Amino acid sequence: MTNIFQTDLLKGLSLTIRYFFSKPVTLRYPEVYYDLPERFRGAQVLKRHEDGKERCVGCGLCPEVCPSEAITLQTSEGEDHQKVVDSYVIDLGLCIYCGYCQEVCPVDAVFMGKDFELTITDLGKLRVEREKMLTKGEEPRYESL
Amino acid sequence: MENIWFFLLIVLLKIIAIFTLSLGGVVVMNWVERKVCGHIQHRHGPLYVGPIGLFQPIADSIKLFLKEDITPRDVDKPVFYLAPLLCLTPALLTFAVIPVGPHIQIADINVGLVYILAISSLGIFGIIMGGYSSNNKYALLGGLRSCAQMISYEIALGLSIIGVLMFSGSLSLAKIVEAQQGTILGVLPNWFVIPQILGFAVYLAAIFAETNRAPFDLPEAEQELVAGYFVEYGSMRWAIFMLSEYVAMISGSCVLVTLFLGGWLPIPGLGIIENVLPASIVLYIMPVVWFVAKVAFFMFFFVWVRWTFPRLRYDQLMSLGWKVLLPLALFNIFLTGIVRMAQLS
Repeated sequence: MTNIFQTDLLKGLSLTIRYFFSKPVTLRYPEVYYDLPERFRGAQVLKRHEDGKERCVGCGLCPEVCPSEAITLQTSEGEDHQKVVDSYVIDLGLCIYCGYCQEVCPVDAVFMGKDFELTITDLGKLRVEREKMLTKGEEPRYESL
Repeated sequence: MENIWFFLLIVLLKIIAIFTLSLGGVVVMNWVERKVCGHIQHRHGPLYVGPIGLFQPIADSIKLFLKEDITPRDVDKPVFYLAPLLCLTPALLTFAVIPVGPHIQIADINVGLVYILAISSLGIFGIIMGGYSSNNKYALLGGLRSCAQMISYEIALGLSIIGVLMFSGSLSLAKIVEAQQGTILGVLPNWFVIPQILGFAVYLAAIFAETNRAPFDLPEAEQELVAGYFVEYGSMRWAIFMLSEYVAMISGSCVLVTLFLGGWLPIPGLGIIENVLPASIVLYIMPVVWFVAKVAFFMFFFVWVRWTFPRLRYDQLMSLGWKVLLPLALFNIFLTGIVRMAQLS
């Protein structure tokens, strides 16, 4: 209280009443979605070439670089002594969404998508396999986890 | 003989009406508080439960009804059970003498003002009993602090009303409202807030402290931080404490409006509406409308102040009550005395 007429109290009251009559800044999710930035790091997707062939060659760089060891890769020798990816599983519960796997991939296979609504009631569902992550286009969308 | 039964029936109906309106007012206040608090903070309040969140208090009440009522083991049982009721009842009793219209009140006793002061002091017992019986150090300290705060501000409250008494010459609330009829210089209403602006300010500050309402809500904030006098109280008992706080707010505003703002008298500029309405409505319903409008503004004011100002520390609070409000109230009485002597001679 700075002076006898307490004008600072009135200044405070006028500020709050101004806020009261102005529009709230709340974004009403889930009816309204926020515009995600272009490089937003959501759940991973595995991209394909234009002809539909999968990009991932099973090099093993992303499991190596992952800080929380969320990626599990199993490969074996296939026909023509080519490397064949048997299983590729990312545990979205362990993943910290840092994007290192995307940076390190030499063939541009792993890509951080825009899906962030990853709530589940069964922890096992967080371990997503390759089939769920493969895309046909750029926008990834899992059938519900 | 028939007369007395008829009279009692009318009084019973009035009591039921006041009871319903005040408790319904509390439910509305809960919604108003959360909505206004939200918008002041640049966000929505409750939105989803009913249109614009209007059913939120109902949802909260249902939750409170269904909650388990835990009585801690070593509490002083009779005191523990009695405390919430002793908080709620005096707050509700003050409504008995408040005039909401010309000759529309439950009881027009000729010491109405003294009755209000006396009854509202009883609410302090409920708090101290709740704090003591909870067998909890923090509850006890919270209760003691709240009790000391309320006692200190009772004095300023009582003294601020003396100025109104000097102007109206009567303790009866109905006569106080009638004494505020007419206008000053033909423009301003003859409400006591104008000659008694200092008394009004003191009363306003004191009623904030009496109802433990921000910025004087340290006994309540302790709940958020540590604990307070109703920490050990479960579902419905806690709800009764909350109810009593809001009812005290509403009754304090009603008394404020009655004493300083002309009670059920029309608001000056808007009195023109009365010319276009049929006479029966003007006579019986409009006074209630004016009264409710004024009280509603002060309800909004309570919430507005709560979410604007930071909380007063306990020693700042006590110092304000004793070193600022009490001298101001005494000075108000002194000044009013001089002015009235000059007027009457």
